[in-house]
Amino acid sequence: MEMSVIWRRTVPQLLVAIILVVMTALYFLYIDKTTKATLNYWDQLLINYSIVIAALAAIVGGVDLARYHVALIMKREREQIPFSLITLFLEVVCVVFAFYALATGVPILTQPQFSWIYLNLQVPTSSAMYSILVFYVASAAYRTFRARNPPALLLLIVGVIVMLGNTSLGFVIWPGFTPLKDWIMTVPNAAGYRPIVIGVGLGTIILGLRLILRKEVTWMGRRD
Amino acid sequence: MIEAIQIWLSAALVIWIWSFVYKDNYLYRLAQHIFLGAAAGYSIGISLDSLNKTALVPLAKSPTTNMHLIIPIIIGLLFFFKYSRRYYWVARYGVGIALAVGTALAFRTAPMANIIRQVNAVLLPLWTPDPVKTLNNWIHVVITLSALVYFIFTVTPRVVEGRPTITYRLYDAVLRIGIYGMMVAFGATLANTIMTRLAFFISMNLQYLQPYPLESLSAIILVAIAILFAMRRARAG
Repeated sequence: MEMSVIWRRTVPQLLVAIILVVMTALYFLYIDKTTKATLNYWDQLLINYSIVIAALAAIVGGVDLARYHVALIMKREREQIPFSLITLFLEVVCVVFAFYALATGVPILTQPQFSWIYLNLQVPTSSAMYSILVFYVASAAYRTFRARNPPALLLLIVGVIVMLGNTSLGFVIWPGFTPLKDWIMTVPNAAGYRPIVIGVGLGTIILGLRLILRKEVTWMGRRD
Repeated sequence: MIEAIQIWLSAALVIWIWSFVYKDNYLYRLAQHIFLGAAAGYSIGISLDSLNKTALVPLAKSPTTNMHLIIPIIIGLLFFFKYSRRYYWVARYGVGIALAVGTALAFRTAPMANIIRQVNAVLLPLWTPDPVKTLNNWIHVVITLSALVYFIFTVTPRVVEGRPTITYRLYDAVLRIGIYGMMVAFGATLANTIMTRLAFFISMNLQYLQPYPLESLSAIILVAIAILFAMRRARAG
């Protein structure tokens, strides 16, 4: 095997496998109290390292977005330029105020200009983006809640009961909707979801094993 | 003055984003790009703050004891190698460590949280003095086991020479119970999702639009003009 391939592919894969094994062992190993305390220290250290790495990864994400919009501006697409300029301007302004907050020792969320942008631009737009989904959910519900076969009919009935059980209108129509909804949520709903939760657990374990065995390589991106 | 601007801006941004439901237009795109810029800037700001608190401040306070914090900073900085055509693979070290720690945190807790506790929750007494509790426990156990059977893809009984065997019939019946159980769960989830989204939509209206009718109306007029303009452009080709 070529030396460059070892550094490019094998070593990162081994690093992932070693960290996974070590962190799992640190969690489950118990020898005595003192050893456990030392193991916990190392475990916490790795978690703190990952927080620092994730913070730098988020910064790289911001740089990516800026690069993308700079590239759009460079393409000289007349319609896109003002929008890209706005995105870049806001991003840069936020970063400048963030640095200013760090330099002056002010907690970032209490820095007046940064928090103004957050409260008056980011919060309304992100909330509106989230709430717009109500239209798509309603459209999906219209298509889903059609009794084409017995399971779909059951889905429709349960959906209607749960919705009526959640509203005061349901209680006015029939007071039994609320306890019926509670029963649905605690018994069949919990039972129906349990295998899915088990499946997610098995999936997580399998992903971990695939990473340890170096079978999972998609995270490395492009092929060399 | 500033307060008037922020009230108008918040109301306008909400309406402009909602206008996408009818048609894509300039004001929607403007709001979308404002969101993008503000969200990216905010996330960078929060990350810088986190980096400062977790690594830079401890490093500045006692450099000798916290010298090891340089390691994650260097590993994190390796991400920037992804912009290099030649050394892009160096970024894999940073990605790998972040991925490994994240997966390890999930990997080591999954057996207990996702499997053992779930199995434990199904180990219910099937005969109790309370008939309602007995019935609930039976429903719980039967639906869970049947829905689990639905996810077993490796060993499934088959129809032999056009005639279903008893094993197949039994398997089919269990499968159906599992499907119906999961349909109940999906119905409840969908209903809850609709309710949550609707409540969020109403709360947006109550917070940003209803108290400020003039601001909302002016934003609506602007977006109506933008939509008319977009329609005219689309017609013109």
